[in-house]
Amino acid sequence: MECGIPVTARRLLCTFWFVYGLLALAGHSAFAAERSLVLVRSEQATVPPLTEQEVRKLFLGEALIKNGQRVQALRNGTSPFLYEVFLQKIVFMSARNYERQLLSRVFRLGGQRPPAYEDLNELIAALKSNPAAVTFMWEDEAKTIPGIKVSTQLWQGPIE
Amino acid sequence: MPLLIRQLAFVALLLGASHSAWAEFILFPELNGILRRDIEPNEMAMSMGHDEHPLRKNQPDAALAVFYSADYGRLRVLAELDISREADADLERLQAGWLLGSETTAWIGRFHTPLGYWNTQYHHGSYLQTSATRPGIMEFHGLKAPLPLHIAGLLIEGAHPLENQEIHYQFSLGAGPNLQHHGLEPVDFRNLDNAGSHKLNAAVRLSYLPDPVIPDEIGGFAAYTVIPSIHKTIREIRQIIAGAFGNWEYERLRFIGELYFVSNDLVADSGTVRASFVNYNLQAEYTLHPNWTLYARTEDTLNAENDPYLDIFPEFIRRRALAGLRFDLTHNQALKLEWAGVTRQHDRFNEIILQWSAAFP
Repeated sequence: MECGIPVTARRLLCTFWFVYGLLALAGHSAFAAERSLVLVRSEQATVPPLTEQEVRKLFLGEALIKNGQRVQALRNGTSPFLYEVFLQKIVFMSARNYERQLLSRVFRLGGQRPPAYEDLNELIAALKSNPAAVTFMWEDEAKTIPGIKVSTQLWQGPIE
Repeated sequence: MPLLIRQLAFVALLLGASHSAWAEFILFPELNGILRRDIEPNEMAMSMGHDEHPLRKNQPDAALAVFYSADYGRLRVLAELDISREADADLERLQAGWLLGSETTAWIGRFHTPLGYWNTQYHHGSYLQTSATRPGIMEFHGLKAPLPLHIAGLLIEGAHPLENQEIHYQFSLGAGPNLQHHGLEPVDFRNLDNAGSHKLNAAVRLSYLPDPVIPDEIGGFAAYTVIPSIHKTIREIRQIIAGAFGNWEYERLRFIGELYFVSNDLVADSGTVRASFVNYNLQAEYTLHPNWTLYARTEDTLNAENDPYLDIFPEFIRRRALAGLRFDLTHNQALKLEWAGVTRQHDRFNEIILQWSAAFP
């Protein structure tokens, strides 16, 4: 006597999983939109494009001098999701670890933790007022804001 | 009282200056509850007329480290004031630096001697370190601190990039501490008239970082210090320090280790006595949960018994085994519970410490 799932039921189950898989794939491609994270500066700024390593060190509070001027990092805290993606994909740290690293480096070497802005207007104003300032944001958002321009693409990938 | 007024005026000055967008003003407060038991030998204290062993006294303790840093273009200033029972109110660091480039800074002032891992990573703000205590060899005040951890002079520090890795370097040259009856006394900028004699300290520290933005680091260091003494039997001490250190993190695990070789020539009118000792410490940490970290540390000193230099520092912790648990209450406050078996130069005891520490803002 044969035990377990009858053949018909097994076929139905397989069909279900196949269809479910196709739907899931379709859903994935439909909803996991590609987004691009970029470093931006004001249009008047003279800061040259930065390498990923320079961006990481800059946002960890270390001094960066380019073309004879101090580059200043501004933390974009207007969207917790954007901030988390920046930390995960660029700095490779959790928010807690990042804050502790930042504090530790400033305590050891001096300097300042990059100021964080939760209001977009204030962030843009700070960016425009300092030609050596840079911040990060989504590329599509950056393109809609007058007076700023993309300096470097930091990361591109699907966002679910 | 005038000293206290000067300290408060200094803090007020820092507060005022911190309104600049390019300034940091951070407070590192801590509260400690200390319980000591099984003190040996107990007879010594009793024979000296104490009703209670002195180690049992002053069990609650509090400290505050005030940190300030500001940048004016390429000029960087940094100050750290430590207010505690042990140190009264000490200006631990006061330095001005010039950023020669992204990677290099030249400092003048009073700063941390570039020795080992603990003295360059952590100092008076114990919130930043996982444990409640630092290794005995890295203590910085009084009769428990045998190494010159602060010097005044010139410090060059920087990094040399190697593709995605880095070599960090620090060279310092300046005035080291002198030896008073209460321990090593670094140059005190607030009291230069009565500073006494200070002589040469030269130190170098090199380290390799496989990735400059993560804390993994391995390196070595060396220092030479001439320490003038006010002790009747010792004119000066010529001290050589050499050693190695490392910090390695892998997922939830972290290890910090240091090794020190210390050689001292104690120069007296009657001749010179040479003595040396080796000290090591190794700390392991395991993150149970983002808010909970288990840790343990072992530290020991070889050739410490009857060492004529270490005998000047009877409170020096030459051996300790400890275990502890850190709980991060919030993103800037931590509670630590630590148990330790401690051996000092002439006594030993068990100790439980409950510490609250924080960094504001």
